[in-house]
Amino acid sequence: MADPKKKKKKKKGEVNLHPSGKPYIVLKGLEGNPPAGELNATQQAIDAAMPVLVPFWSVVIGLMVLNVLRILIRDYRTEPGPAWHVDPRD
Amino acid sequence: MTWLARLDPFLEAGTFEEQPPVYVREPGIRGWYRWVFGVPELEASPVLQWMYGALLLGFYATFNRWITSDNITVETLARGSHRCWPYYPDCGDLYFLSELPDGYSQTTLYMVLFALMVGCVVAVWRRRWTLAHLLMMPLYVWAVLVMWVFTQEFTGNYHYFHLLYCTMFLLARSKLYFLRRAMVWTYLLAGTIKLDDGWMMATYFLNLKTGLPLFPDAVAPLVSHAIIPLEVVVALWLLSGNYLLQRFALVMFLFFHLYSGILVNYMYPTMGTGPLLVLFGVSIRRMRTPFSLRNGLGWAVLLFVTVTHSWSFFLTGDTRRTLEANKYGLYMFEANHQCVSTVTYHGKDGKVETKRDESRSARRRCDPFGYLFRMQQRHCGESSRYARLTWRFDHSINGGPFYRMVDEQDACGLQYDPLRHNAWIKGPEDGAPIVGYPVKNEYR
Repeated sequence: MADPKKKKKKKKGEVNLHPSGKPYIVLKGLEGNPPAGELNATQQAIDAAMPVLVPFWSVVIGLMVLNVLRILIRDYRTEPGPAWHVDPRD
Repeated sequence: MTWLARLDPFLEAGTFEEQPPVYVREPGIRGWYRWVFGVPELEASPVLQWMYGALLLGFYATFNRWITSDNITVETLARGSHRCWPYYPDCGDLYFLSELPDGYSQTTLYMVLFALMVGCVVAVWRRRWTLAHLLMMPLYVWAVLVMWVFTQEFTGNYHYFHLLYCTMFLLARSKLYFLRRAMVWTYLLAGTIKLDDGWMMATYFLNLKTGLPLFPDAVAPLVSHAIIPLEVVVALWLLSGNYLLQRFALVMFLFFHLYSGILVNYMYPTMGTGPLLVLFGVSIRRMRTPFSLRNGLGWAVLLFVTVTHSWSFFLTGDTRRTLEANKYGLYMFEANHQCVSTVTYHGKDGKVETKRDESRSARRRCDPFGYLFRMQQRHCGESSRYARLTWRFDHSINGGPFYRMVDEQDACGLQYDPLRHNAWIKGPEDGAPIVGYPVKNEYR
C-alpha cells in the first residue's frame, strides 16, 4: 500500500496544481519560484482585521481632508502662526 | 531639545516668508512677462531660487532618459509600436523625430534642450531670474507635450510630481504657497490608493521573490502598512509650526524617498528629495490662504489633480485590474502585476496563427488598453491581412489568481472609452473565470 505522506514524483509534462485544482501559470523566467499568494502570520492577522482597517483608514483620510479645509479657512480668517523655531533656553 | 537641534543642518539658515512681495506691472513685453508669471517672487525668495535648481535637476534626469528612447519616433510609428493616450489615439500624427540608428533629429533636439539647461545655470549664476524663468519654459512645454500628448509611455509618477511642481513654479502666483501645498496634497492623494491588501498586507512586496527591501517578511506588512499614516497624517505635519512634528515628518519622508530608490532607482528620489528639502528644510512662515482671482491658477491645478486622481474611484470594477483611468492620477505601486495576452490571428487566406505575450515584472502595468491599442494599430483595418483577431487576456495582481479578463472573438471591433468602465474588460465581480495561479515574480 502506498504511503500517503510520501511525495508523489512528478512525471514529465505534468503540471503543478493549486489546491483548488487549477494549474500554476509559470511565466518565462519565473521557473523555480515558489507559489505566490500564501500569507505569513502577520499578513493573516492583518487580513482578519481588514474589515475594520479599511473603513478606519477611509475615515482617517476623510477627516484629514476636512482638516485641510479647516486649516485653509482658518488661515484665511486669521494670521497663521509663526514658523517653527528653536529657543536655545528650551 | 537644543541638543537635537544642534544636529539640524537648516537651523542657522533663518526663517523665510511664504508671502510673495508686492509688485507692480512694469512697461514693455518684459514687464508683461514678469507680471504674468510672477518672476519678482522668484527674485525675492531664496527658497524659490533653490527650488529652481531642484526642478532643473529633474529636467536633466528626465531628458537623460528620454534622449535614448524610441517611444515617439517616426520609425516606432511605422512599426505600430507607439502608444497614445486613449483620449488622443491619433498622437502618432504628430511624430517627427528619428532616433539612432535611423537619424539624428531626436538627439539634436535633446542637445538643444541641454544647451537651454546650461543657459539656465548661467542665468542663475548671473542672477538674471527673468531669463532663467524664460529658459526653463521650453523644457517644461516639451515635457508636458511628450507626457500628455505624444505618448502614454512616459508615465512614471515621478514625472507627475515634477511637472506639477513646475506648473506651480513657472505659472502660478504665490508660488511658494502652492508648491508646499501641492507636495503635501500629492502625498495625501498617494495615500488614498493604498487601502487594499497590496499595501496593508504587503502582498505587493511579499509576492516578489526578493520580498520587501531590507526588512524581513515577518515585519514587511507592518512597514508597508505604516506608509498609509505617513502619507495621510504625517504629511500634514510638514506644514506644522511645531519643531518636533515638522522635523519628524521631514526625516520620515526623506527616509521614504531614499528607501524607495532601492526599488525605483534614482528618478523618484531625484524628483522628490530636492523639492522636499528645499520646501520643508528651512523654517518658513506661512502666509494667509490666498483666496483671490489672481491665485486662481494654483487652486485650479490642485483641483484638476484631485479630480483626475479620483476618477478611477468612480468607475465600476477594480481599477487595479482593469487599469482604467489608472494613469490619470497617482498610482505608484498600486499592484504587483503578471499577465498573459494570447492573440489568435485569423488570416484572410485562411491561415491561423497564435502568439502569446507574457509580462512577469511587477512594475509593468498589464493595461488591456495598451495591448488593444498596439494590436489595432498593427493588425486591424482594411489593409490588414487578417480577417479577425481572437484575444484572451489573463491577469493576476498581488499574487492572486489569474482571471481571464478579456475573452473576445473580434479584437479589431473593440472600442475603448477613456472615461468609463469598458464592459469587455471583466473582473471577478463580472464573472471573469479563474484560469490559474501565479508563482512569485520579480521587480525589474
